[in-house]
Amino acid sequence: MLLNVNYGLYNLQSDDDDSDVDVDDEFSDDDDDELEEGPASRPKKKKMNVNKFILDEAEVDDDAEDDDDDELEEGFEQLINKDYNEDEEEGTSESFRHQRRLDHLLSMQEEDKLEEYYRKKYAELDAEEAIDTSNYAKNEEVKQQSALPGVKDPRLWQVKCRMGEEKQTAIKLLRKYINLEVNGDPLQIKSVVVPVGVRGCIYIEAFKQSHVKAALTGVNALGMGKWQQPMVPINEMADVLKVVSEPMAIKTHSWVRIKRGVYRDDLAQIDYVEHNQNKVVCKMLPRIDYKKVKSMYKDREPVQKFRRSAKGRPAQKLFDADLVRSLGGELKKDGDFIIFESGRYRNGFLFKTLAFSGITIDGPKPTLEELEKFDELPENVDPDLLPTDKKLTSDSIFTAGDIVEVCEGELIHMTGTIISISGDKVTIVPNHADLKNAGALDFPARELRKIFKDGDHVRVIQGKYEGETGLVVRVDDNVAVIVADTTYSEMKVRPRDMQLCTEMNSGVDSQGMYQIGDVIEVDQQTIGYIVRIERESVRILTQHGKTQSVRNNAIVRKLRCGQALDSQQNFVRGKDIVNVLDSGTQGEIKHIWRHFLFLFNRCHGENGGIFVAKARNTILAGAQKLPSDLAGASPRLTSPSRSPMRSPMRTPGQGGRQGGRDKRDKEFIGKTVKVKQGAYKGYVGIVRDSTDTTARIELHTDCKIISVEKGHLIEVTTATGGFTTPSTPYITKTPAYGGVGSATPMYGSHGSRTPMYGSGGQTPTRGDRTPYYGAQTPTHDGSNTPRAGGYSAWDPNYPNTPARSDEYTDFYDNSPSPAPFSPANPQTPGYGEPMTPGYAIDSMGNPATPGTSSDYNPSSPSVPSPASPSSPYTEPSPSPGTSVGPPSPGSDQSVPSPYSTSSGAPSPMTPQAANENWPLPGIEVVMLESFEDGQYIGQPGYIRAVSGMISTVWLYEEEREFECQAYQMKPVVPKKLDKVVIILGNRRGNYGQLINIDNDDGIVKAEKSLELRILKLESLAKLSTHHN
Amino acid sequence: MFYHMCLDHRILLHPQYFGPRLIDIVKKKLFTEVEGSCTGEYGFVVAVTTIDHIGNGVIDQGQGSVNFPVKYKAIVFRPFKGEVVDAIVREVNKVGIFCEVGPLTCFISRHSIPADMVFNPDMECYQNQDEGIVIQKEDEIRLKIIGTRVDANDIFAVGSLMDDFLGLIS
Repeated sequence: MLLNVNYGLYNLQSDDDDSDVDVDDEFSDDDDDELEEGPASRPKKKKMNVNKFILDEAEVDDDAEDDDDDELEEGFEQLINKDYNEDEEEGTSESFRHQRRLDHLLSMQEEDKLEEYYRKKYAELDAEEAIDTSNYAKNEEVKQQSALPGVKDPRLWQVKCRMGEEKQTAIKLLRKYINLEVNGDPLQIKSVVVPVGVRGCIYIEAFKQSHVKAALTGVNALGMGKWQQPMVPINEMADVLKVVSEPMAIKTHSWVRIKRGVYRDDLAQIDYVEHNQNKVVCKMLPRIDYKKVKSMYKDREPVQKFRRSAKGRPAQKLFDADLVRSLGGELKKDGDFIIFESGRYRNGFLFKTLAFSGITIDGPKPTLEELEKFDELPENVDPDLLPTDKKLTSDSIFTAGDIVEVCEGELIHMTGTIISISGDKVTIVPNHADLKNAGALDFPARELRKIFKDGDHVRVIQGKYEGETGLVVRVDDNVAVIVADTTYSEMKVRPRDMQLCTEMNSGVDSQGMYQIGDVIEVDQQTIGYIVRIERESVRILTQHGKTQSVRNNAIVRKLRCGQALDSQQNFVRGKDIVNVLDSGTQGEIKHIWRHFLFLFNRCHGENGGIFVAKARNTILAGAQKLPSDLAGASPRLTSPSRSPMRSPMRTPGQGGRQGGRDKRDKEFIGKTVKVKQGAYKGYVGIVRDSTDTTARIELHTDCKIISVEKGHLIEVTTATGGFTTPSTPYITKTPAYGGVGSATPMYGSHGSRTPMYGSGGQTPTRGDRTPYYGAQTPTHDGSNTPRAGGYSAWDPNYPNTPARSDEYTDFYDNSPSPAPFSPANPQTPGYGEPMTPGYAIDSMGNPATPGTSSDYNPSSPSVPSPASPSSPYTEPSPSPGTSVGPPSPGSDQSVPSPYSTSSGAPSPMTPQAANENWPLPGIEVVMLESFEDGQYIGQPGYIRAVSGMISTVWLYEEEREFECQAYQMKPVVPKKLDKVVIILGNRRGNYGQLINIDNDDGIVKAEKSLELRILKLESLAKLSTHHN
Repeated sequence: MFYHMCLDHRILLHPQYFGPRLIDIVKKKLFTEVEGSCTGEYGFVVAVTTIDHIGNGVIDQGQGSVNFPVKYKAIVFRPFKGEVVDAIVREVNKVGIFCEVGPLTCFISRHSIPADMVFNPDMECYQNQDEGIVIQKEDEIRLKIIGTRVDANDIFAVGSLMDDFLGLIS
């Protein structure tokens, strides 16, 4: 009888070895007589004899394996020992005859005979083999066919068996068989089959079902199958023995997961593989319960047994020998291993021997944290050794169009192009001229490998560089070197992980949140330019020029590109080309953050050509030194990226002519806006066309276009989903702007507009807009030199090279007036008109001291003149919270632009220091150092009168009046119950009494209304008691 | 390789330029827009030689701009795989050499530089100890293009010095 136990590599467990041993013992008696003759070969023989009954490893074969006893034995013996070519008995006896003769010869020391013996022996063998193989080759198919079971052969019966005891049962049946055979009443069954992976049943081969039943009786594990034994149909018998091969590719250093026990699902690294014993030595992080160790050794308490659940298990931690020793644990040494409680530790890691069945190679991919615990940098981990989520199919490795080489078989080294793939079968067209006629050939996927040539453009489809594209610069046997498109860095990739492609890597991360070229904030101090996207992290170049890796979830936000001033006070923006002063290198601005410029120069070898420079250390390419006020006035116009077409058309006079016409506001077109007033309130749409006052909007909801006044619109930014007001001041009126606007009546009434624009000197009637042109025109002519034929087209010093053609598409930008910045000039009369003092009062609903407007002193025309064209851009708002308008119309008239004359840098954060128009009559003040060289520093006084910038102050100690400016003194902070005057905000000029002080806030009782208000202390000033 | 070929282009002109010099402006604009541009198909347009035909302008609906179809002949430079070209070294670093073939940037990886030429970080050059050949910035070299990457509006090439008669042109 043949006991046929099929093992796959996969499921060989330790208990299998036991079963082997059992069988050995069982049979040792029978073998004795044979074994005594050749003691040297004892172990081998023993094994052989056992193997006569147990086919330990079935040959992995897709073909049907025959069930016939004799056939199987024959094939099996060939596998074990080549001498065994004939019948069993004959074979053994012959081999022993050989052995005896050999012993005899050796003892005789006859060299000639010895030589003759060997010659004869191997000549025989060769001849035999030669015949055998030829026969085999010829008759292989026939043999295979004839080996299939027929109607006359015994049949297979499926018998239910207790789960998990299939193999033991088979052994039991074997014993029963032998027992009964000795007793002279042998079982009639032919074999027992236990296929791998089939649980809960075994197969018994016999001619009749009654024979099977006889075999079952008395075997407990087969009790369930006593009543029913379905017969396997003839054509399915072969399938029972078919072995599905799962070659387990366990390699040293590969990553696996533990299946069971305390270490369940833990990551482990294979340290050593013992294929013979189906065991591996895994390196993993121990989970030692030090509390338990303590109670065991130190406290000598009996350890209470408790069930460990995966949740309650000790944490993963490196083995701490010192801690164990301090707890009284016993440690032994074995080489460089420390042995503690039968666990072997080295460098803190546990090295555990596990059966193949105790680990799994296709568990979840190790995360970065897990790998970090193993002190492995993600870069060093060979992606090949990582467990793969999906089984690699030929589909994922190959695609149609790949060029492949045959690496196995008779057509080895032939190259071809894949035309189709179906399952494991890959169809290729040979590239060789002579084979072209042969047409398409089919190959199994494993016989092919992809080949690449230098210069191929490829995409990496697997591994740590997954998604990158690049050009192949070198191909070795197993690795290709690629120069990445985005970073120009080298990557080493295996050919099987690459694919020919034409498009470039977009450089977007897996979530599509960030891409190469974004600037992100990591923390308060660190921002960085993304130079590479990795799988779970991005590599950034920080503002300090260092690269670091940032995990995706550590990114705070994406930053927008700003503007900066270069060393010559030129505004620089994205896409401008600048020269770095100290190194002399040139680069295109990719991003600006504060004063850091991220520049790109392809020739810069690192970080994909990105490097950092400080704005102060650069100069705009092609720019000449400009007067700083002009540069400040028109930042956009100094940039070289403007069409040269404009300059020839421009004459200073034209500005005035075109000024009266409605112009398109190209900046506004295409923006998404929301209507905030009128019949269409709440509607969202896209601006299709726009003038200064009205915009035509295509609504999102209805398919129609409506005209809406711009004042009724609010811009919607798609990025945040919220609403922001557009930067163009159609809606927001910065205080500065309000100042200019409200200044209009002043000029109207006095008819002296010209002094305001000292730089212009242009047509006085159009004074409100012309000077801008006067001021700007030289800029255009200077920096926007039209590209003439004589210049090299490739020289980036001439910024208008046609290569940057994207700059030319915007035609409306070419219109002569600097549209984006024009709103500062009230171009349409209707727009500027409402800004009369009366309007200001009405619109703000603020009855704030209209009387103060009479304070305006016409005798100080020199005061307003500092309002240079640059002021609308540089002026900080005095009180950011009240950006609605000027504090009071009157005061604005008296001090149109106080900051341009102030000495210190005005900061909107400290209104008392910055805002120079706080003085009001009656305020108690203290003189500062800046007054009369500090002669009167600290002296108290009060303001008797204010005229323009000049306040008349009465100093108590000097007992006389001085004239001084706001910055030369400061108001006295009021105390409780002082009479106060509000100096800031829209209630400026109101009187009241300070009832109480709460930190920075003061509670003020208004003089007229007797209302209580809470105001910032800094917006209050003490009213002098001397003031009437 | 250089080609002289017929190409088409559309010029979009803003109404402000409508006037007696209209055609001049169209021509001027053609030069600025086309010369130095790069298309994946034809490569870099080096110079416009003749303007063959300026078609009738078509007004863009709603914009007021006018589209002029223009036919012109131009000299184009299209790099090809396997082509041997002369270049000027722009940057030398440990990764390789960046050089310029006119408008085309070409990268020569250190793997494509003969093994006897090693990078000298002090001088920022590749030098051959035995023969004293030095390749550094601004040198003229001859290289073979082994691969090109063609984008919509740019071409990038990788080159090699691993062949006879390639390298420094003395």
